[in-house]
Amino acid sequence: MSTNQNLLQALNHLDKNLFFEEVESLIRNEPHEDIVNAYFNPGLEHTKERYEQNYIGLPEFLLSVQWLQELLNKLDLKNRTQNNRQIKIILGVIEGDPHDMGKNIVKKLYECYGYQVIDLGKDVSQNKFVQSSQEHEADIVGISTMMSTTMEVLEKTIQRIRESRPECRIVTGGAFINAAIASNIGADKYIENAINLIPETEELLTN
Amino acid sequence: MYIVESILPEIEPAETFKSLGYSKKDKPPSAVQEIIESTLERILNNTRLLAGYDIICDFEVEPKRLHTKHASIESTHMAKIANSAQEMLIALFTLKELEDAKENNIAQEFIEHGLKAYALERAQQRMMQEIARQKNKYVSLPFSPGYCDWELTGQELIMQHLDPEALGVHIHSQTYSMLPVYSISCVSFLGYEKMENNPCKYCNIKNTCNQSRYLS
Repeated sequence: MSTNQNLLQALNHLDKNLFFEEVESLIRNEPHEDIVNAYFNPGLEHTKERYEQNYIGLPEFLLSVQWLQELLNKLDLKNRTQNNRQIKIILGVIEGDPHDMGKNIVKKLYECYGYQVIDLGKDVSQNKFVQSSQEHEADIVGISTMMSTTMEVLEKTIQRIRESRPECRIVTGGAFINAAIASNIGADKYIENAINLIPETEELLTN
Repeated sequence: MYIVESILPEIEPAETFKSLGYSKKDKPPSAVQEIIESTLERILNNTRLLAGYDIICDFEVEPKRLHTKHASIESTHMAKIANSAQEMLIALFTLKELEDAKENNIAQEFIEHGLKAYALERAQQRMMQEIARQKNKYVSLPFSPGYCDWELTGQELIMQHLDPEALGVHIHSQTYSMLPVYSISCVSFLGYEKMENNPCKYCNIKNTCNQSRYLS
């Protein structure tokens, strides 16, 4: 069996020993830039497809993503980019909301796909979002909330980011938000789940 | 407000699978089960339930609302259940961690999150059953602000009747979120007859609502 098949098998069976044995062998024997294209990217897509098709649940998906990121961290790489440009994304949970599980999953996926993430955490003030988007010249600001009572402050935050940096795209997600609400409060996009995250983000960046 | 601290109930790993998104037919693979087992053991050993509650009997019921001496609750479903009750239990439950949180990877973080939420609900259920047993009464389904037909602004009632800060719980004044996040505020009813009116059965979000676990 080829190393690539072994790696996919290890992910399919969540066999940690086999996975990291293959990783060590790859690191010794292959150019690190090639490992990303020939092993890491196919592994990530394979995992995403299995999750999308309900072959695996969210815990298995996240565990596979975690191992793949550990593989990435072991490689000696120059900055990974999207179309030769490092995309900067600011993420945070809106003020008054302490629920950050969804935001943390989104952060992990963005990092795996080579985006530079600036994580502001949870219960983040309007000022902090505005200042950070200016300071880091963010391409995208992602704001999450799990509560209906944060809609007013979410709308104001989006307006203020828009006023201070019109070129910045704003995405939002979380329970109680849907595409219509996101549009009403001024966001560029609503991202529903982990599967849609990267295609929706790429679409936003190309439009 | 009465304050009670107790250990968490025994929980078998298999009973938590549903709270992590697995159906009855599906079992997590062994790598995930290992994380569930070790995380659950750590939670059960290093966490306590802290409960603050008050029991009142001076409440009035109308068809679509009920009134306590401090507040009114707009909820048709709650009013229906309250009709046959003698006492109203207003309660706040939170998990008290005995050690600092461990640095987790994202899969462990997700599993720990699901297990803590499950453990808190199980502990809450057990404590409410115990209160009812001591009173020799039945206890109804709990209602939490923001669920069913009770607005999240119902947290005001919890703040007026109880002292959340005494339990180490902070309720945000504008959004009504609670810190620590593993906290449940609720109202339930105690009565001599079983209060079987269960609005969850007819609710179209029951599959995504944590409270629907009471149905099983």
